[in-house]
Amino acid sequence: MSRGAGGGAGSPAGQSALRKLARALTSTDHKAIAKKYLWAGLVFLAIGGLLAMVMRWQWAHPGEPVPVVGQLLFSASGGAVTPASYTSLFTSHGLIMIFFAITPILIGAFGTFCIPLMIGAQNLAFPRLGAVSFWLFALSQALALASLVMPAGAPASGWTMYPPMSTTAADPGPGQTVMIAAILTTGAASILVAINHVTTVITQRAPGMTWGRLPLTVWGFWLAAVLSALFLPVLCVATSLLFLDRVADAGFFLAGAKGAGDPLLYQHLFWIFGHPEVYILILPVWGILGDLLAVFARKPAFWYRGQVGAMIAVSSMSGLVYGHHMFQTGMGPMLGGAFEVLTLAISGPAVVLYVNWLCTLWGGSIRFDVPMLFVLGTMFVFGVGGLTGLYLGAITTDIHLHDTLWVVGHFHLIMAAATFLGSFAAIYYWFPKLFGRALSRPLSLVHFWGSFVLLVITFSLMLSAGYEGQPRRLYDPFGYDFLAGLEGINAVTSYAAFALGAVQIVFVINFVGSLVRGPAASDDPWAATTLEWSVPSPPPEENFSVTPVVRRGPHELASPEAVARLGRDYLRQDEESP
Amino acid sequence: MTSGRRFFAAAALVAAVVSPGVALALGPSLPPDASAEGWRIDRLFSSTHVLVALVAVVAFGGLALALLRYRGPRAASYSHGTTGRAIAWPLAAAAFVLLVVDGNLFVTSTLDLRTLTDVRAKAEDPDAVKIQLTARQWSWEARYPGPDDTFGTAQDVVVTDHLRIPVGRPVVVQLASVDVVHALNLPNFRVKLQAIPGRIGSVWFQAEKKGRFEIACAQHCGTFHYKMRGVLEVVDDDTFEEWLAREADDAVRVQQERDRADAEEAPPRSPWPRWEEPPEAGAWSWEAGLEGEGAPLLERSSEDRPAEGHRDEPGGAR
Ligand SMILES: [Cu+2]
Repeated sequence: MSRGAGGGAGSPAGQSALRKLARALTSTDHKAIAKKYLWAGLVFLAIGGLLAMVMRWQWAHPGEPVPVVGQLLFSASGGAVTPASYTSLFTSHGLIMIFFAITPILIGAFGTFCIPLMIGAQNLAFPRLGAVSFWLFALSQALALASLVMPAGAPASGWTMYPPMSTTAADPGPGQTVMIAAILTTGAASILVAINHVTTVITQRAPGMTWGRLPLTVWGFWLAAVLSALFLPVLCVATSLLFLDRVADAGFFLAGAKGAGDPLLYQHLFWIFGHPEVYILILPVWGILGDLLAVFARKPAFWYRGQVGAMIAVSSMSGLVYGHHMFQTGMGPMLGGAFEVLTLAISGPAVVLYVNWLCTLWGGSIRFDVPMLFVLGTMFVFGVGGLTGLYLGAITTDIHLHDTLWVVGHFHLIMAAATFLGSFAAIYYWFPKLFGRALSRPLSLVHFWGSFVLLVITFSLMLSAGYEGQPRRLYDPFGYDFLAGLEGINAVTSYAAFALGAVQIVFVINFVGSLVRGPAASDDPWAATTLEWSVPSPPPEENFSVTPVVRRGPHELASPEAVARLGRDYLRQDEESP
Repeated sequence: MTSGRRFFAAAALVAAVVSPGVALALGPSLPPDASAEGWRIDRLFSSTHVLVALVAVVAFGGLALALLRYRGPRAASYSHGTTGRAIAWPLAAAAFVLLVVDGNLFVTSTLDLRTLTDVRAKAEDPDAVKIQLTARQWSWEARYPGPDDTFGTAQDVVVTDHLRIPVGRPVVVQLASVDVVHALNLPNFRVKLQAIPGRIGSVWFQAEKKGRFEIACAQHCGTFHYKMRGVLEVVDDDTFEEWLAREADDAVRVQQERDRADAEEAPPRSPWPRWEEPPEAGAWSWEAGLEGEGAPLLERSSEDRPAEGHRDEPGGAR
């Protein structure tokens, strides 16, 4: 990328720099939009991570002043977290991570970047809509930040925002209202992105790119987009009703003397969205795993149709299992049993995926490049997360585990560890294509091993505390006698989390340093098979100078034909047969 | 890779793979079970641990083996895993997890739930102790019928945050909330149920051990959620009956004194509807409200959440 030359704002050079900036901000190129999502997501990942550190400090040293940031954030209490600010901490941490960090990194950045390039298209189906969705998303991020500094306090009802806690009856301040507006805005932006991604895959595929030849990554993003288009409207409905309850006293979710509504209705609406949301975030990771395991095991992905079928099966069932989030609301046993069967049944396609990944490795020639390490780490934490979820799928074991740290550990293994490591697999894999530069391998290795080991330690210790019965979201858990023995394990978990945060500094140095002066990346550093590696790094604005013609599936690796005729082990999707 | 780096990598891998196993196998244990039926849940945990450990050994052992055996460079096999023999692996693994692991979870929990949710039969047991439990920010208020065994009379015994129950008799709890969603959590009795405004939930349990246990709130319910702690004291039957009779006498006497002092003022009545069983056998909750429900929340919230700052004193619970 060329950089703006120096010179005052009045000079011709200054004007051209301003024009360039204006062009970058209004660009309708999917690659430019993707980069903006990546930056926006990474910044909020840091904010959400810092909130988690402060929260963990409170569990290691309850009531003691927080080092470094304490005086800034909690000056009124001498730097210590207060009970009220603690509830705001976990509320904003959850909302920021899910809506404003993971979603933009995975779907906004990599979905928008990969889909057109991997299907041989010049851009998204609706380029201007792509730009509009980003700016709508940026507005939602601004609203979310604003909600944290509102005069009567940040939202404090948990990321699930259950009424009546989230209504003015319990929280009259503007923070919660502004955060609801932020969620509504980000939901609308995500629906626009979903429509764009769904349409792009349907209409913009290059000649020969049949559905059976789509890279698994594209399948993952496409199914995630279909689920977003179906279920984000439900989130928008739930938050709209909540918004009306707050600003117009509508009373949809207030019962008894305060309204003719029902707080339980919100839980249904929220989880009809909330459970598919887990799959919206993990489907892209599953797709990326399927493709990257093939590339780095130098072997075709095992049972492509089985992997696609499993992803479709999970997507189809995603809206039918949400009731397990409400097992302990007093649900009738027939309804509970139905949700239990459907929830447990999800483990079928999940096992099919895992064994397919294992069989892709089996008989391969495995290369331990940095993206592959992140892929293998993702596989492992996904496995642990899945197995610990079984206990939450059965109603009776869930009686003990519901709303404990077991749940927190379980969904962080999926939503934080697996999507985190999966997102970083994507960052390390496509960084050369995105920016035309290579990252430092030693720094990348430190980042991987630090993150992987510390994620596993942090979240498995959370599982332990939850198994002992520690309820989640307690400002000071140790007021309970039955939790008094858990101070040690909570402190160790906290320090593992602090170390995990510190390791991310290595990534920031690596990422920014390589952007500025990393060595130039080749067009195809991984010897990969999909179309994005056929174009220069970074790709030109139009992506493909000539529309590619796709001749084969996405995983033609260990190909005897290529070995015999070309002396290499792969054929890209668009290459003519030698 | 150099040997030093390989050693570091292997050590980190072992640490990561082993730590969940160690954490789960050696570290934690369920809170001691003091209930008559909690063993059902604990038994399902135990059998699932065995099956999950088996799956984990195969899944992660297979992963480790694949990484060791097939590290490159070597000649990879050109197979797409599409033959019937190949796809038998994922299908067989899925069938095992679905039929054995999930099957055990579903069948056991479904059979156990018939006992655990059989509130209606337990409420008909003449031995049963019935409690109307009101959750509010941030305390538990329990209402027992006095010796007349009828709710809503002057003999009602009302206690806050310290409940007494007899050992060896079923306890049937009806649960309501007057402000936000709470959840009754008795970790030592394997009980957890949300208290939702506008609904009455019901649950039963039976204590098998005497002693002092804790009542926790499991659902985030506001700033002082962490202080919504109560004591559940399990005593022998005679002690319980004596205590209940004494408290009921006190309640009646207080009521009479109040009536004398202010004859016009109506006696404070229970906000609860009369004791009713769930409309559907096995249902845990149904729509029904407490009288005047919610009014306390509105008053309370404006005090607890000052317009400026909403930052209060750091509360050390210890
Ligand atoms: Cu509560």
